[in-house]
Amino acid sequence: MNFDNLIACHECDLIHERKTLEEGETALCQRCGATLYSEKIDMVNRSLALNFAAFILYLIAISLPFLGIEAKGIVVEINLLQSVTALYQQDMKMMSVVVCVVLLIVPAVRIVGMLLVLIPLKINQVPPYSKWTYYFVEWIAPWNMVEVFLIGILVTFVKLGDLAKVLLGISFWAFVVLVVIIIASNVSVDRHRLWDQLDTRA
Amino acid sequence: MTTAKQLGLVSCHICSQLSPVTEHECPRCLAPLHLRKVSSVQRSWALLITAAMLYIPAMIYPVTTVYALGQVQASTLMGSVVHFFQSGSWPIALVIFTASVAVPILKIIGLAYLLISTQRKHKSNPVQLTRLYRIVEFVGRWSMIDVFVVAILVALVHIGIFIKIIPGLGIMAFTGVVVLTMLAAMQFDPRLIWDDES
Repeated sequence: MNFDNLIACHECDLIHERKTLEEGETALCQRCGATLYSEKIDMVNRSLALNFAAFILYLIAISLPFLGIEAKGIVVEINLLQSVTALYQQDMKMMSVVVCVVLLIVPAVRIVGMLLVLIPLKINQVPPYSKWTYYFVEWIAPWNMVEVFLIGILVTFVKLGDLAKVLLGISFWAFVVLVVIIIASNVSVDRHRLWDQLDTRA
Repeated sequence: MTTAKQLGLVSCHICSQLSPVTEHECPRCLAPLHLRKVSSVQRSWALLITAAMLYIPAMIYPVTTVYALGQVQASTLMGSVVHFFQSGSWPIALVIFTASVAVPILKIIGLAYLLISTQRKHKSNPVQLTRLYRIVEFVGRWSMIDVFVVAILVALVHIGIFIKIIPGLGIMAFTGVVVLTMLAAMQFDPRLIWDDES
């Protein structure tokens, strides 16, 4: 029995027959309404472009001044890395590890991992590492919290409002764009269709 | 309405490839195969109960202590909500209240309800339970807002001379609540809601 043309809903296990979709269409589960798979427009090219952009923005975001405060004529600037190291120095080691993972490590691994998978795919190759790399990228995906961090920054502005003046660094703006690009790259890929393309079995 | 389980098939949780239940490894992506997430309900309960216990110190202990202009002010999560509300920034008060106070506790209650429902023989409306699961999964990450706020505050201000902000025990417990509830939601297998449906 061949079941490559079947798919089970990942939320309710109902079996569906796979159909070829037009670009931009999405297949939903008949019973619970979960997304089964979708045909993204120009998937590989788009997500490759977005991940390249994200890669460059990430480097800018972590290396240049991120935020600063000015109080009584004294200016203090920090970069993104310091938001992690400051917690570590304040003996909040567990918290600094959590923040470091969800803010710095997971996005970096995701961007680099996607590039490692997509670049060979662009020239129609699937190197042996592609599968476990994409496996890992999918596995850590829920821990990517850059957009939550952005809201955190907004709350901080208001919180510091009456104590000091907040200055925005270059890398802050790079980070804002990075968040938008990361969200766009998440929706540019369909997990099932990418796995189809990584399928090297005869 | 046939499920993969009824056909003796297991769906890979990574790449969705179907295989016979006798297989232990997905032929396509090499991930280990399980019909349902392993001891889903037990693991989910364990993480959830730990999170519920940590919620108490997260609310009681201060998240930050501010040393400014000779004054020392420790504030809890609820305290900062009240402070924002009184100083007129009620949109921010609403954001913090939702993300840090309401969402974690509603998430704990929602997940507990899902777990109790799946453990019972006769399930109430599975469509609604699945919807509840999706909300719980989606909403969890947004509770990290306050953790990030403390991280930025501490980093920005620790070099300062007039103001000093020290992170408190409350924010550590709160980080634990957010991470543990996220893990608990990930351990939960929504297919269990539908398993006895015919």
